[in-house]
Amino acid sequence: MSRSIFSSIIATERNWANPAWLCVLAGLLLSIIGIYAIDIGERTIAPATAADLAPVAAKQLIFLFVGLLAAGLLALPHERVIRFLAWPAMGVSIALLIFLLIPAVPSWIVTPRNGVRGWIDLGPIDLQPGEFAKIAFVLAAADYLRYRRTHREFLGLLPPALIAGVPIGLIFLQPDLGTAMLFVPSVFAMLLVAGARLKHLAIVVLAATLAAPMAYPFLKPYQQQRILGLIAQVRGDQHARDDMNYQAYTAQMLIGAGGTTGIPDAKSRAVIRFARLPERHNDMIFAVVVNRFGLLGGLAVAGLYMLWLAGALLSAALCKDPFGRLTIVGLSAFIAAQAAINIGMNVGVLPIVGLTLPFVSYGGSSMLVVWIMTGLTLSIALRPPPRMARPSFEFRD
Amino acid sequence: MSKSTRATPARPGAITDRWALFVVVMMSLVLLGLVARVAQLQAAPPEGLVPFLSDRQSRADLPGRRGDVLDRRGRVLAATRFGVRVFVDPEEFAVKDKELNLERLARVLGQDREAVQAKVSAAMIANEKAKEQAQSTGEKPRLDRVIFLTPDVIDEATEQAVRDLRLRGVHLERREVRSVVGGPIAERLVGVVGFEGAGLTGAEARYDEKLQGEDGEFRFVRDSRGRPLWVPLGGVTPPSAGRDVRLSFDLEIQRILDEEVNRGVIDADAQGGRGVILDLATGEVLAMSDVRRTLPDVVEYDWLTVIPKDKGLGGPRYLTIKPDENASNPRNRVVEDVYEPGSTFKSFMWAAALEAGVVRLDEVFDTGGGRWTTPYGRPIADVVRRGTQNWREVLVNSSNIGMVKGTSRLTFEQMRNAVTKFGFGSRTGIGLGGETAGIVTPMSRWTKYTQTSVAIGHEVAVTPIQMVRAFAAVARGGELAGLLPDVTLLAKDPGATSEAGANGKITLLHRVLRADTAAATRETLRGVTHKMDENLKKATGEEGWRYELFGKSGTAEIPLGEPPKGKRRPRGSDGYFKGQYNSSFIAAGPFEQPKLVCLVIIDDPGPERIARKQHYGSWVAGPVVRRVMDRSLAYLGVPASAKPTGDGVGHEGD
Repeated sequence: MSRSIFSSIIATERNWANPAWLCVLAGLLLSIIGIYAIDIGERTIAPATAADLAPVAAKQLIFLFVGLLAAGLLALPHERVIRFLAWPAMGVSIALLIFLLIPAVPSWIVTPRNGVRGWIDLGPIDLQPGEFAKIAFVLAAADYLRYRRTHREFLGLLPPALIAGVPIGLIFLQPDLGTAMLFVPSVFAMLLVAGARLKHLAIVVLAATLAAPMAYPFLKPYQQQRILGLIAQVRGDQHARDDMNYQAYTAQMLIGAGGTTGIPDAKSRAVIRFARLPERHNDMIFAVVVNRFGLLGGLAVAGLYMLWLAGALLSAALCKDPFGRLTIVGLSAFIAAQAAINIGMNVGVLPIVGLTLPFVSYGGSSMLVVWIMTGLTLSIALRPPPRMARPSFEFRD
Repeated sequence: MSKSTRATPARPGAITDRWALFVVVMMSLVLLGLVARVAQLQAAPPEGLVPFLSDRQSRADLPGRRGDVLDRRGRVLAATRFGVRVFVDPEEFAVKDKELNLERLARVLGQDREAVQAKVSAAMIANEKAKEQAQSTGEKPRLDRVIFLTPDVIDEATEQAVRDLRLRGVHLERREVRSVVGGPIAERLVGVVGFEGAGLTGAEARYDEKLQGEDGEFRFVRDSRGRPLWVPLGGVTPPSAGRDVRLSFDLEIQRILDEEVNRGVIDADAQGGRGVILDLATGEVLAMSDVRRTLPDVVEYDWLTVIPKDKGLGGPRYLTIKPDENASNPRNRVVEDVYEPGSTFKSFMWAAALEAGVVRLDEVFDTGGGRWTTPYGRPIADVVRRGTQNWREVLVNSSNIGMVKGTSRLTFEQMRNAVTKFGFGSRTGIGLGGETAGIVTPMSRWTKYTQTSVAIGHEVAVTPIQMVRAFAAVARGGELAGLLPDVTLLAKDPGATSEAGANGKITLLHRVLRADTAAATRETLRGVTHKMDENLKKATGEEGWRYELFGKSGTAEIPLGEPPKGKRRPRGSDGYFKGQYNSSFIAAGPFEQPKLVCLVIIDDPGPERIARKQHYGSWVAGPVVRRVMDRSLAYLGVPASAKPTGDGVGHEGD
């Protein structure tokens, strides 16, 4: 009996040779680059050993181990267990997101950062429910879409939109515009893969594009400034360089200074420290990496994301189970979109929104979540394909 | 079955695969695009970013100290220290409290508040204009960002006071300051170092390459305030100091010469005086003196008056020393101004005639009682009137008639070659700026008249430095006798052990006379100084000189020189300041083993001297040379001459 319970929870049959290992490899390399870059931004002298790392970099190293542990644990259970957890996870996430917004919560539990009520203070680490909501959303949406075809009708897009809309709205209210926006590519990717009609989605995109300028007046002043700053910068207007666009200019300056192969460690540390790059171990870490390793470093980071994506999408393609396939696609969309947007704002082609660079940026929740994503991908990929499986989402029309 | 037709695809997984591929390709393109943007930021950064990319890399020069200029005994003539100058960057200078800050700055610097404000404000306004203009043209504005408030370096206390003000936009520039010790003459010889640290005049220019230190370099990454924050490996190249240059000058002999020339000028109520001392063995210039006096009764020549030939003492006393074009950089008249040597020149022509074999030492010349007319009708007169004189006596008595008769036996070519062989008409190449070559009539215009004039030191223009060089050929004893030395500004003692003393070998130019001719000339010239010593004893009672000298006096009217621009020599003028003289004496000693040669020229002895007929070289310049030589030789530790002179012993032909 106990054996049967065990075997029903822990997957025993394994497909060890699977492409999801590429995700693990890419994630690991990106994380290591990130820890080094965090240290660059913190200290002026290169550490001799891991024990010499700057406190935040050391902390990030611990987060990496925690993340790896989480990923390993997630690879154990049967996919079915994960699916059972989808909706409870969604419920907890939404509850936490609501909890964040309750004004009565004392500020030692929810400390607004830059005006954003996005973190729950848990002592050594801060929990960012918005990050975990991503996973919960993907699992829930995948579970919802897995055997359906209603979403092939235009109105049938409403339920998945609602599943995405609740966390998006709650996160938007924090207000964390960047994280909220990330749900959009994910939901679209999942719908597309689940067989939603392109023209329906195109109509949605078109409507959203037309509606976007109307949303501008509802944005917070600082959000408006970010957009104005980008416009000013694109037009070559220099006057905002020292205030509105300072962060963007400094990041671009550091990227430009990196050259083809970067600048030596000690010099890079000095330059970054005294350029006073804001959020240098966080949102702007890509600028640090390129400053240190140059264009080649930038290419390497982009290549590692491609590697992660390739591993995940290959796993998705090989996965016959619709839930697994949708989950991987949803998670991949999060990682890909987040990386692209973050790099875009570092190089000055997108407005600066608070988004971390997956695996690389400092942050416990962020690290844990990307590794959970990697773990889920691996878990799904480790499942041997059922001997008799109906192909997912193959519709005639 | 209908279920299976709905669900069974033609190609399993086709849609998903297509989407997966699409996503991968799109994502690749997006990431590549972003990386391309990275490349763009690096290869062709937007204009606004460019200053940020490059400006954070800075370079500072670490100035290498310039070597010292030393005298021949290692005493410092010019040394370098570092000082600071204050400048304001109007672009950085805080607009807030501008007036107050400028006032504080002006107070600390001890300057006029309004002057400082005007200076800075003018620059600020000019910069604003430049910015406006640049905005309309789209070019980068040229801003004036360095406004010096102190042209010279400030003292340390002021420097600290400026630092304590801690004003934004007020900077200190570290720079070399050259201090010259040893008085105005040393200043002129040593010369000036420009703001860029390069020698501009004098020895500083001549030996610039050696003196220049090598600047070091300091490369660093700076923060936004310009402070160095990171220095790359090998970013510091330490500066190296320049080498010291030891000049030939001897500060002590220089002091003696200055003192005595000054005394001579005042004694003679003259407008000025010049002196130069050469080491006979090495050709080193030991001292140079150029004294000028402002006299109330002296007037500038107007280039209109024809000065009457028999002007006598009644007429105006004209300024005979041309004023400097640039008062801050006065001429060194020892190398830059020519004069007519007069009788001092006879020594050379006398020796040339002897060398050519056209006269014998004991050959007797008919000097016609002091009056004679040349075959072509030019009257010649002597001061010492004799019926007959031998060739030795011709020189001792400075007989014009004898000199003209003797040298007329030389061909024009022989005569002119002798002049140029003695180094006249060509620069000595001593290396001081502005040296003139003097004037020797070209062969094509050499006439009988020239032959006569040159024999008695007229119709030639020479510099004092040329004179001592030529006289050295006569005066040098031993194996160097008759050889023209290469005059030099560098110390060249062969026994020097210090590094600074290794200035190369002594160089010789060429042979001018046979050694025996030189010896005969020396021997004869001894008589001249004997006479001079006697005169001196009579005039001032000075006697008991330690060293026996040999030399020659000369007195010549001062030429008008080149007229200034737009002026011409008036018609009927013979080109001389009539009744105004350059009285000179050139001598070497001690006779037994000549060591030094000294020339002193007294420019325009006063009318009183002329009235007493004591304006001649042997009266006004001779005693100066006498004193200078006696003191200098004693200072050098030269043993006194065996036969004290002044008693007429060894005085020949008189």
